[in-house]
Amino acid sequence: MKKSGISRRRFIEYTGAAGLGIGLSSVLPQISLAKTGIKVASGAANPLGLAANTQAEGVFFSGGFGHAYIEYAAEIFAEVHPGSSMSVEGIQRVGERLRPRIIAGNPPDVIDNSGAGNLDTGALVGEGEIMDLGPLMSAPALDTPGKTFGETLFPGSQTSGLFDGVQRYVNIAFTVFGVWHSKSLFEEKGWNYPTTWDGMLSLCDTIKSSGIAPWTYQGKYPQYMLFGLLEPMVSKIGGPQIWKDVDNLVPGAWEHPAMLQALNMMRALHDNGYIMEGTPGLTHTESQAEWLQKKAAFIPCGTWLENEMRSITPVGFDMVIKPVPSDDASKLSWIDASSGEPFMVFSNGKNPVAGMEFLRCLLSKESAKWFAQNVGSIMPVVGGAEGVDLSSAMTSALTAVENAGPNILDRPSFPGWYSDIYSEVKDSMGALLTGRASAEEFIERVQEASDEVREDPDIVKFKRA
Amino acid sequence: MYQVSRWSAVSTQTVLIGWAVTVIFPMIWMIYSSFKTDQELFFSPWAPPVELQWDNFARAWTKAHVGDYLLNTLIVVVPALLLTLIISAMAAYVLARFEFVGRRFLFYMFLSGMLFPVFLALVPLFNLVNQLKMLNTFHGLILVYIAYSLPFTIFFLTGFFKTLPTEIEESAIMDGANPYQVFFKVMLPMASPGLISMGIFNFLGMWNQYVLPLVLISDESKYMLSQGLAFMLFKQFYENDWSALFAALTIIMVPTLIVYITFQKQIQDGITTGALKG
Amino acid sequence: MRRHKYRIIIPFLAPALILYSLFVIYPYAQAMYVAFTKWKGLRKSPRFVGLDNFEKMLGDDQFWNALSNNLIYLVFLPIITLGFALFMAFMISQKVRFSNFYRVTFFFPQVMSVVAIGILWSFVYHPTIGIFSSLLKAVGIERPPIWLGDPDTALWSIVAVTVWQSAGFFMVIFMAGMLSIPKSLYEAAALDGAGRGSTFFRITFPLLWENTRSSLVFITVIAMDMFGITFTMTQGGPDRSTDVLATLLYEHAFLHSRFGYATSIAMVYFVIVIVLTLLIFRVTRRETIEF
Repeated sequence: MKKSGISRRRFIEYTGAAGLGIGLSSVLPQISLAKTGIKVASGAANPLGLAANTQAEGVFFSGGFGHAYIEYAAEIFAEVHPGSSMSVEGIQRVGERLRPRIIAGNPPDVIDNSGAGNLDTGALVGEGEIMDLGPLMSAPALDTPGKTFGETLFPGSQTSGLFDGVQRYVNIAFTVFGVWHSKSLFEEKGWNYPTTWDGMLSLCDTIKSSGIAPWTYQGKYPQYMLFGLLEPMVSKIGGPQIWKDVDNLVPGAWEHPAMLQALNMMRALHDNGYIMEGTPGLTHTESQAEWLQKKAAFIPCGTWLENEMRSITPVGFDMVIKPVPSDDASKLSWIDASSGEPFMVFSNGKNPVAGMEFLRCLLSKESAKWFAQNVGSIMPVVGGAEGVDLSSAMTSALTAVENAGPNILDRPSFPGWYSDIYSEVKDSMGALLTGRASAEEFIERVQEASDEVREDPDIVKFKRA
Repeated sequence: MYQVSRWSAVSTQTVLIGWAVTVIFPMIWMIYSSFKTDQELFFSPWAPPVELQWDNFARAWTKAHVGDYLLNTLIVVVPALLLTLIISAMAAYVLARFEFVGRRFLFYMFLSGMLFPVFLALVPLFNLVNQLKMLNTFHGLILVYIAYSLPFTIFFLTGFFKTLPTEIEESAIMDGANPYQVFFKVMLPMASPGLISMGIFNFLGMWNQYVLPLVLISDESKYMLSQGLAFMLFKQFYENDWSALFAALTIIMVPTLIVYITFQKQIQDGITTGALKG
Repeated sequence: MRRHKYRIIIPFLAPALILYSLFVIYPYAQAMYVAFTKWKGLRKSPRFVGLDNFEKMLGDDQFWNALSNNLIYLVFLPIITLGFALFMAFMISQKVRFSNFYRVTFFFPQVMSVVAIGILWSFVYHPTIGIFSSLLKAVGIERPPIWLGDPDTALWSIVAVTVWQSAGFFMVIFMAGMLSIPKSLYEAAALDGAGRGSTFFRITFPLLWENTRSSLVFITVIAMDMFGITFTMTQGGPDRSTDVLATLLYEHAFLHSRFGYATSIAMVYFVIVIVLTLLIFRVTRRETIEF
């Protein structure tokens, strides 16, 4: 910390008077670092005991959120630990790229396992490849004095990363899922967002007669209709226990009447011709691009939509997100909101401590603010969006969360736990929305896949409370 | 020859022109689209570009490193190609001209390599290359390229050597030439049409190879061309920089087209003679 | 010569054999073992399970679905591609105008990378900005097929791309055969007053057996594979309508972490290719006509 490496290391400046050393940091609540401006809480500089001069490696899915926020977190990491660094590579198709390295026992230290073609998390956890993040969760937070890392994260935001009670990954993006439309288009046409599904269907009729297709979805990836519509609808109609039963592979879980009702409600979109022509042939960005051209009024998505489509969004489009309506208008505000984008640390990487330490930097308040400001989405970090100008999309999402109050719906875990069931849901959803499968057939297909998983002794099972 | 009616000539030309348009049009559309902005690409796909977006090419070249990928690919493909040809020619000559125990077995063993799905061997192959400390190296990739080019090249050249007349070879032996001289001084020059066509055939295969580098090269600065292209494609699912992708496709296709037009005679001759004489 | 021949055989074969055994045979041999194991493709070693994977395959609808798609390719790709290639080869070798231009143009897709072709054709089939849909809409068809998005058309759309890519290649193979047919035979036929059709069926086609055989082997390998184009265009969808053995086993290996099962599917694939190849050689062997 003295003179060494002045030319290369980043210059550190303390708040208050110059010349106060690190020894005095217990007196000062926080230390501010020059480049990123992060204020490190006292005693929180290195609770996990990162060795000096550690050169660690991170490989991250680079998707809708881009890659710049990872680079920023790496800057924080390097600034908090002069001499150490985290290399940050942005990739797609994480599984293809990393599986051989895992087999060879040479995984990177920390990864973002997201996007199409990612690694099967259930298998990784089952084989003991993934670090227990317990020490990270109970370590002091980087820039929130007096709190542990775990305490600074939104309550419930990390439950999907719990495998039999052990934290195996942390979600770094807080995402609201729902139905999107263009505020300006709706104002221009005098349309109002409906409060029930019947209201939705009659609005669709109006929209259709005006020459615009009421709905589109991410065609080749029908799973968007799972988290955009089916999940919240089922919870609203039959209660959140249904998805827990689904996750726990309870026999007949998919045959719940609420499931049938919700699927029939969705199927009505196809039966009435409300889905935009050509939708099944489009990729997610292509269908979203069509929607941006106002060829369709509604599209399901999560809050990454805004950033993903930023480069081709027309000025004045004003996208906003709303919860999906169901049978009961009083439950309109209930909304799916959860954290996603799982980051995990390999137990036999070269520097697992560096991996965890990087996550502590990534989910710091400073990094969260940068994320909110520059990516337009939020991290599940308390106070992470303080003083940040939010777009209309993000404002609408936060309003939706606020309106929901205690009725924030959890997302089911089966997509991450049992890839076979998830595959079947994707295929069957496509079939349902193109009229090739009835709601009953959907249920039959998916229940069968679920039964097969339950009876396959080679698939590691997980439980959810 | 026999009479061809006017009507028949016209209908022949119609079919041929129709197919030529089908082949060429998508490529022209691609080149044309590479000069547009993303907005134009999606919102007015048929309109001509409002302004030529040379910037797409700049982004493809610098940000997407198409230039680096081109260079990397050449560094690997040129030596891999030369070694493939010489090693295969030696093996094929022996398989075609000598009778020995296991000859048939060896021939079919090499032949079987053409039929197996490549990506199945990827994980064991990765482990092997890892143990040899050749991951992320150009020489490692070169050796693997050679190994996976051998089946077809040997298959082809064995057929080719069989078609060559034996008289010249026999007279060289009568003149006292040793087997090495016979091979390098007599057979190899005689086989040069086959070697050229195999050279071009393998060049194209290696140039477009995707799966092998995907697993063996993970360092982005050492990416091969197809790998870089697919990398860009998967990236566009999230970044929507389609215009740069189209520009990159154009950058890659133009040299391929030039090489192809220059050597099209050899390519086609070689492929046909070889493909038929296995 | 006889006693010394191993002095040339061994050193000439050695480099090829060493490289091939090390980088090709050895990994495949390992893969053969994996077919009889359960293995997640992670660090824990494969566990031998005998024929379990093959038993499971018998009752696996997805396997039969993928296999039947391969069979559709195996039936239709040779008929369409080779038929079309033969037709074009015949026409071009009849000294039509611009024959050189056609020959060069038609072959070109063969030299393009599959990734590039996949990207290009995804846009050609695009439901809103694609070439086909726009054309059909322009002539008044309001609801053109959603090529890659509809299970009824997706597979045939891929057939079309494969024909587009490979017809030129097979055409050139056939043309080579046609050029080697002695002119005197045609002249004799012309003297007999044979028309174009009967010349083709009585002279040209029977003399092309060798070219047909090689073409059949190549197209069989293509029809059994189909991985590259399927993976870049549909990933086996929609609703598994374009799934083939190669994409299915890729999914089992890399999505569901079932390397053992995936490898056993690959074994079946391998056996089918080998059997078909041998069959083609056997059926066409005696038909070769010497001249």
